[in-house]
Amino acid sequence: MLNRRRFLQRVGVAAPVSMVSAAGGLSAGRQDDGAAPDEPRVYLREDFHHMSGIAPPLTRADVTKTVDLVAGTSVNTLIFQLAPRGGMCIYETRVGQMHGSNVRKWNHAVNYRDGLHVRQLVREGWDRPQLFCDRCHEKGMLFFASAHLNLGAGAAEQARGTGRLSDFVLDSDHLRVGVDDDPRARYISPVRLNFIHPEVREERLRIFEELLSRYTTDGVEVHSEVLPICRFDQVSQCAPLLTRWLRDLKAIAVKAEREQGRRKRVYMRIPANPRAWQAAGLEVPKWISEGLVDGLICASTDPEVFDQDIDISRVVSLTRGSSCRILVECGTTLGKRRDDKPTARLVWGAAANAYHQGAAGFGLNDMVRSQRLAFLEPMVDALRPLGSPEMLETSDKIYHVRDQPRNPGNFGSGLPGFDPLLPKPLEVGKPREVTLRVADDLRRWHALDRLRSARLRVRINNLEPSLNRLGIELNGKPLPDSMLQITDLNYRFVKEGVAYQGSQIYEYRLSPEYYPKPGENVVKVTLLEKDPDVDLLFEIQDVDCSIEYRLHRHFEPRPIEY
Amino acid sequence: MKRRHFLQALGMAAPAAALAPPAAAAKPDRGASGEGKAGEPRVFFYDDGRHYSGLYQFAPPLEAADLTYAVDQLVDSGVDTLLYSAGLEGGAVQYGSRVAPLWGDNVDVWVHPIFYRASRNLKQLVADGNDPMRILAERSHQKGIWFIPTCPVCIIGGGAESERGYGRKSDFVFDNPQFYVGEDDHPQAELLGRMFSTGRLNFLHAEVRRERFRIFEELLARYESDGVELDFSLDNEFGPFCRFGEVARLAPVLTQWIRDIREAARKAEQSQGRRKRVYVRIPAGPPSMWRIPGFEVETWVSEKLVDGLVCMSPYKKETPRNNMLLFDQDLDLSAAVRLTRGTGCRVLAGVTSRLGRQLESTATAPMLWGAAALAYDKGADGFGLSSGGWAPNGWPWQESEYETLRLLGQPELLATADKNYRVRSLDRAASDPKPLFPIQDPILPQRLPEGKPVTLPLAVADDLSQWQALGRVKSVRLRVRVTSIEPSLDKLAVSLNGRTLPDAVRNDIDLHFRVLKNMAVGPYGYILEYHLPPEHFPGKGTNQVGVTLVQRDPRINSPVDVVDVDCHIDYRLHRNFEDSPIQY
Repeated sequence: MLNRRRFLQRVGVAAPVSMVSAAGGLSAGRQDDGAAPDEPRVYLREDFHHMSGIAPPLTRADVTKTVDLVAGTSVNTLIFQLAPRGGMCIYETRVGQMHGSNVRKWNHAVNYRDGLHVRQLVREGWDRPQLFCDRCHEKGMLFFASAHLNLGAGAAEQARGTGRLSDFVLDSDHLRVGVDDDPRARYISPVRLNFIHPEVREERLRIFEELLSRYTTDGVEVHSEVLPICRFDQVSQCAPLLTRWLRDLKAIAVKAEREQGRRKRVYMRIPANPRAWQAAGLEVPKWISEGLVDGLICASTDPEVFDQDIDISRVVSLTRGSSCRILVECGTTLGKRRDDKPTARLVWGAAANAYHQGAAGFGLNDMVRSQRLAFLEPMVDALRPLGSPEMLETSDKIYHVRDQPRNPGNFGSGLPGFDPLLPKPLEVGKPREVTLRVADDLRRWHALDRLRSARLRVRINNLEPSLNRLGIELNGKPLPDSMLQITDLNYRFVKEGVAYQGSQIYEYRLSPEYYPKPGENVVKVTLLEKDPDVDLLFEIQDVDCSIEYRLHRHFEPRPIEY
Repeated sequence: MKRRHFLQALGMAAPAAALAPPAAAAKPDRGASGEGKAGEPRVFFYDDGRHYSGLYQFAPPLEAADLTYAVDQLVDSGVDTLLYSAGLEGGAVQYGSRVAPLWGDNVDVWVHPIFYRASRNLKQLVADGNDPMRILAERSHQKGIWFIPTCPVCIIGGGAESERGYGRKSDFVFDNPQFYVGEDDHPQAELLGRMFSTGRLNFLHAEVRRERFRIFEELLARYESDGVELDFSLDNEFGPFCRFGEVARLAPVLTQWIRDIREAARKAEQSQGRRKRVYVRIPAGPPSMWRIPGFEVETWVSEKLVDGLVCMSPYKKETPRNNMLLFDQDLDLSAAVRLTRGTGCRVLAGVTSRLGRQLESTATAPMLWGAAALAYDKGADGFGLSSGGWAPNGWPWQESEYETLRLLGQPELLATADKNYRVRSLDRAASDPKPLFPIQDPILPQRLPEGKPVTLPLAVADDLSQWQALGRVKSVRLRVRVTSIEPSLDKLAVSLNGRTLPDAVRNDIDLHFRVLKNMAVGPYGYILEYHLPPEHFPGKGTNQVGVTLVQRDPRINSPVDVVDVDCHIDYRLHRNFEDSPIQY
């Protein structure tokens, strides 16, 4: 029996590309799936490590275990990095080089296992991308093959024993970006390959062509990671080359679409910040107006960091009236004492912010790796509302201002929007403002008696509340002490150890007149008086708003105590 | 009146010589020290008075009850003795002393928020008439708990001038650099832990000894303490309180100083009508270990200068380059037990609970039960936690902590408590230990060259054959964790006491790229878990675990290490008794 999604996929196949495209944005700015329900809505990623946790030998079912783990959840699209930045393909490519094929002696147990898996796949005749295509389609999911746009960051000869670096990457010194005197390039790998060279562009195009034409993929993701893809002083020269390259890619997709009778989408991951486009040479408006991309995956400038406040207003306005879809991706490095990765409530906040601004979908930059997403517990429950903005509206959430996790990535380093909003130092009499984006219409839910609590929390370090005086405002209104409850973390032990030594959380249980509004809110913190006996820097370290709902008016989860 | 109160009251009315509890009142005590030891410390908890209490964790101002939570948390927990730290490593003290400066007395501007709060809390408590030593002693006695203040005997000066803003160092240590040990050319000086810096005060100076003596004298005489612990460690690291070349001179000086403390205790005992014990914290091990820092333990015991030895692992060491923090279950108590047999001097085994593993930073209950069972099996009179605090699930304690503590003084109950015995192992990611005190057995991690067996000692206190015969053993699992192997390509053999364990009882647990909440498990590798049948059970005492990399896959060039070896023993409550007997 043909299910609805497969039916629509076939319809799409039979129709011209222009008809296959999704309809434009609808009311409230949100792009709606109504006309094209089989477009990506919620996605997860997978990468070459997906079977690293499985001991050889593999069964055929092991290969696509990732799909089975997320089948039936809200996830309708799997994006799989099949050709990562080391230049190797993790399948039996005909146009590139296969993982591990240039290793003389392995020097890393996990990569060695990956290599063993690749050899077994070849031996058995199991073509990994096609197995994934088939399994995703069986389970009513879309499958996107992803390949990196920019190769070679961090490449070094001694890593040859990992099997992840292709000969093209290892042997192409003449194609590298090289030393870049621009101060913005300080933390970016100079050994990455320079997209200005035709050999680099052609190598990548061949891989994408294979992923589009040889397999029944539903599209490709062009995965940008280290930007710019050339020296900073070459950006204006490189920008049109990248656009032309995308034009070529789109033509390949159209051809594959015709040949396979299957919709072939081109999605590109970009930083959402328009100033970063300019700095990195991404001609996004042109890509949209020319229809070169079917979707844009908008990430934080630092794509690894967990960032709920990804401002997509510019890209939403550019795509209005076009068929280009906007998906928002949040990174998953939170780096907090109890949670290295975001909890469900934080992820729900990120998704709600995305939909509220008009995103068509949402995804997590984290790999399933044939295991469950260990940080989202329970995973199925956490994923469930991600494709349903209406369900997200009354899901409990934590809105958190982006700060600097313990282990920041440097992929967006040097680009506008990379630096976090927090921490911020506090000096006497100098107010500090922090923007906090919230999607919830709290007044509406309060009127319906659905709101259990809305708590604004500001964590400040090194400060003893009884000896210092703070003023905290939300959207210009000073928050009264009567709503304040301080949580002392001066030296507080939790299971994970000491929690934020020397900190205090100023928590305001907000009454309706102080609720944050949907969209951007401003939290202002002023150190009014400082204890003269200390020589310590006070900083705002965390700002968040925790919102909890009731299932219904007067509905308590545990209504009686005995 | 509770029995302990009765005995304490009895002690107050009797002359010092008669203060030892009567033999008739004694519970059977299987420890080394002999008979007539009822009413003596059995399970102790060392509280450094700062981290896990109101000084750091509670916002000022404090009431007396905020501080006495340190006692209240021990009530009916299984702990009968509170070792409470009276002072800091820098000479400042944590109570209303008349002979030593209070934490922060010499600070103009603070540079550390935690220490600032601690000082504020202390000063306010003292100003309000709530001297911590007094109210803690009172509360302990109300609740039937021995209260024994403790303090470092060696203190540290030197350091950066900015440390003045910490308030931890007294003017005495700041103003007397002539008393510092100073640079030491002796080769062993390089092996000292982080606390034994060149700025530590040299105990050969009479002024240094006097400064410390006055504090202990005050703790004995001015407060209703049940004695003192002379802490010869610095944060549980051991070393000499002088240059290495001066140790021979120091030893008799230190003994004489203890004699003086003993005399002060005797006087306090007489004046208060309360038993005043002198306990000392020393490294576990043979006398040769004690001689390294110049501890004449034999003399201290034979002259009855001390009432108890708190024996700790000598191997703890924290330096940036040589971190050896470890949880040591297998303390060598043989010398201490032999020495004290029949003398009345007690031997208490003290463990630091830091485990330093990914999921558990602190030793689990079965690990602590294993440590306690081994200690009693070796003849200890008691057992305790000496880390300065203990918060496996954060603080305050939860039900699981109380369940753990409950058994620590009960060898009979420990016999069938679940246990996890571990081969001694360094902190995670630490290697190449350079200890001051020689390590006699191999310590993990150990490199595993192809074809060359590694043999590791595993101490077990359980008489498994006895419990097996009674149908009480649920399972015995030997687990060997090895890095960088692929069982289908590498061949390993594990033996226990010379007998190779069959593959049929082996269960491989894959840790290559295993993702858990917040982490990927590391190091990558495998756990080889053997479900031991009775014929392969480990014996009581020291067992030998052999691990051999029989054949290495030639395609990989990555070293193989054994990083953890342990033995999990689980019991049934009764023969044929299953915790969850039905599934639906």
